Amino acid sequence: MNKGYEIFRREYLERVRKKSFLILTLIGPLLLSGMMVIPQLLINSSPDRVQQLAVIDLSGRLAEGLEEAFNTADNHLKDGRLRYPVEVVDLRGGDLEVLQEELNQRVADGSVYGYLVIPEDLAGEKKIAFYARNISNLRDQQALRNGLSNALIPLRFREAGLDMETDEILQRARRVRLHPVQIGEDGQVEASGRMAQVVKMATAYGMLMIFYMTLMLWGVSIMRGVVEEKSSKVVEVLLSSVTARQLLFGKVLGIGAVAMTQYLVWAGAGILGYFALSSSALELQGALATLSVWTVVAFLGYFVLGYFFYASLFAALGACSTSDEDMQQFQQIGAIPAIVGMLLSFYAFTNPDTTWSTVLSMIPPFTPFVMIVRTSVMAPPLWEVGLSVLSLLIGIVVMTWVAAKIFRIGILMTGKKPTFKEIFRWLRYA
Amino acid sequence: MNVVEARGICKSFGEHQAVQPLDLIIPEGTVYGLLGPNGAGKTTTIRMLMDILAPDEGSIHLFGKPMGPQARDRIGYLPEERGLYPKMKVVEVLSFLAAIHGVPRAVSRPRIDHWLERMELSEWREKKVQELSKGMQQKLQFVATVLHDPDLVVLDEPFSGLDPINVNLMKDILLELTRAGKTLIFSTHIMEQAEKLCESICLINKGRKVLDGKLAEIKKTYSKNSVILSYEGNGDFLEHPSVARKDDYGQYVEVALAEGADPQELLRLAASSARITRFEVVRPTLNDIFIQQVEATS
Repeated sequence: MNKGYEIFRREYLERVRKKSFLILTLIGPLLLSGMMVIPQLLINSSPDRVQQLAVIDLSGRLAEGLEEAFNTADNHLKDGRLRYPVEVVDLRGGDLEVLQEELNQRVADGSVYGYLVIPEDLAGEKKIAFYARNISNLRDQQALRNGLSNALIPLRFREAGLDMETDEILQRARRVRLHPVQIGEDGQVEASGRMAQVVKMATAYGMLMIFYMTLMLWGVSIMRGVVEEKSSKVVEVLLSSVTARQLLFGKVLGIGAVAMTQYLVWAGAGILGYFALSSSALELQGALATLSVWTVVAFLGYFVLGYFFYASLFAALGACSTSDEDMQQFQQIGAIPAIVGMLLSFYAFTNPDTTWSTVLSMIPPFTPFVMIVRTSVMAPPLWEVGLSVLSLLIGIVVMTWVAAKIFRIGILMTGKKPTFKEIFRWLRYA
Repeated sequence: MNVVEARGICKSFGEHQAVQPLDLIIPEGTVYGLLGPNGAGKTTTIRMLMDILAPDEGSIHLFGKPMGPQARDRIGYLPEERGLYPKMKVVEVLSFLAAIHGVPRAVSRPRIDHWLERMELSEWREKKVQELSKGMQQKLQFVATVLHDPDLVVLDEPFSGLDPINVNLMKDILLELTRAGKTLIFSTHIMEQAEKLCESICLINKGRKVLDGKLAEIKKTYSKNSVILSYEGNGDFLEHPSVARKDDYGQYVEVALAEGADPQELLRLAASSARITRFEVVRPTLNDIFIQQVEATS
């Protein structure tokens, strides 16, 4: 009977049977989707109320069309009132500064939501100033921006002597959009359209987040397990019948399997939900189609290897800790390379084929982060994949060797926290 | 066959030399006591035998071979620092520990029931370890040590923390194990226990072997007479040169006589100045030898 398997079995069963695991597995997806959906809902739900606007029109030509331009169909309140009624303020040949001071007062006391100052030169000026108490409501600003453009552009065209219907002018004045089409290594079209790009980005960062969260949550779980075995003193009994290496591998694999179980439950729930909501299924299908098998395989591969690397690191750090306070400090040591890896992955996303990205792919603590992103954005050459996997494997061998050493010595050390000098000395012990 | 054959093993922790080159030869079926004061290096020695610590130098053979996976399963180890998973159920922690010693669950289940019965822990079978009292956890740990029917049982301070009734229970089980031909190594600094149980001993102090061999032979070579006496009145006679050392226990005084001194002479001397209520010539106890040797080497 394999002893490593027995360690694995205990780690797995003890954790999976815990109530906290059950609860987290069941409500985890709800929490996660809640975290993503609720802020979105809150941002989009502006209160149903009138936002009184004022306009000072120095050109004297734009103001009258604005109320109609701002209050498009979706900017009517439920009771039919306009969301953005416009009061045109007459300059009456007076002083602009005085008038603005007056309006500032009205903004401050709330009788006006905000006001616009339209410049004299409509043809050349690109900016129009908007004064308000709240300038972070993106929904309002978008409505104003669209309204101003829709009113101003036809005016400019007409003043330049072009006689056309407003709609046609707007049609012709539309900005050009770039339609990205990705060509694969084999010269074939791989993906096209903005949606594909968004999906790629979302997949890359989604995968990175899953990887990072796994490291942080389950890596810490490994650490805590090691510290508990040390503080409950059970470790000496264990080490009399299994080797430090068996204990280490059993633990890392067992806890990895717990994480996998949770993800499989979530994935299963996701697939069920996918079929249940068949209306959105088509859309999702289209998006998923752009995901190549290659991306998924690469993700799983780097995920597993990266997990092994960081799991051994966390196990070693756990073996160095003698108390919960130590553990928190050592935990940060494990988190730093992961955070740096996350930051580097942002670079790799926009520059997947630079020398820097290639080099970073070969540094084991960063390899999984950089390569997960690179493979999902643009297939890197095979030799780079091979070399990065090789360097990660070497990293894992070295890391588990170091971890087993520290584990073997450190796990019997209690009392005072070891210094780095001491930890390095342990590595030289037989 | 020698179950344990350690040659020249030593271990340092930084500047501190915990165990200096040490030989340990333990034949099959022996009850072997590893004795020494606190901090003598007993636990470090045992950890080296158990391959938990690697010796800096020297070699260790168990059952005639270097330490390996097969040997591990033939050893039961009760560490000084006791510990079990506090949140696991009694029966589960036992079957887990049996399993990592190579005993399949189907085989260990009936054994677990037998041992829990024996230790009067049956009703705790399905309880979590942390719900048990300290003494019960100790007994549980002992069950875990012998559950896989090891040929060599290594016990580091097995009696510490047990009440007299459980000490007795434990002692009976240890005797059964020796009668079944198992080899027993235990460390202690309580000499009375060692004296009752051990066939052979090794006395270490400050990481150095002071004395080893069969207990009976050691006692023979240390057969300088000791006297236990009780008296009323003047105790000045105890300052006489024939008294090498005296331990006053209040109720009686234990006297180690000097080389070549005659107990009869001490008796005459004592009777002349005090009223003697007890006078008994005894062999030195292991405790005497222990104190004498430790003091001599300190």
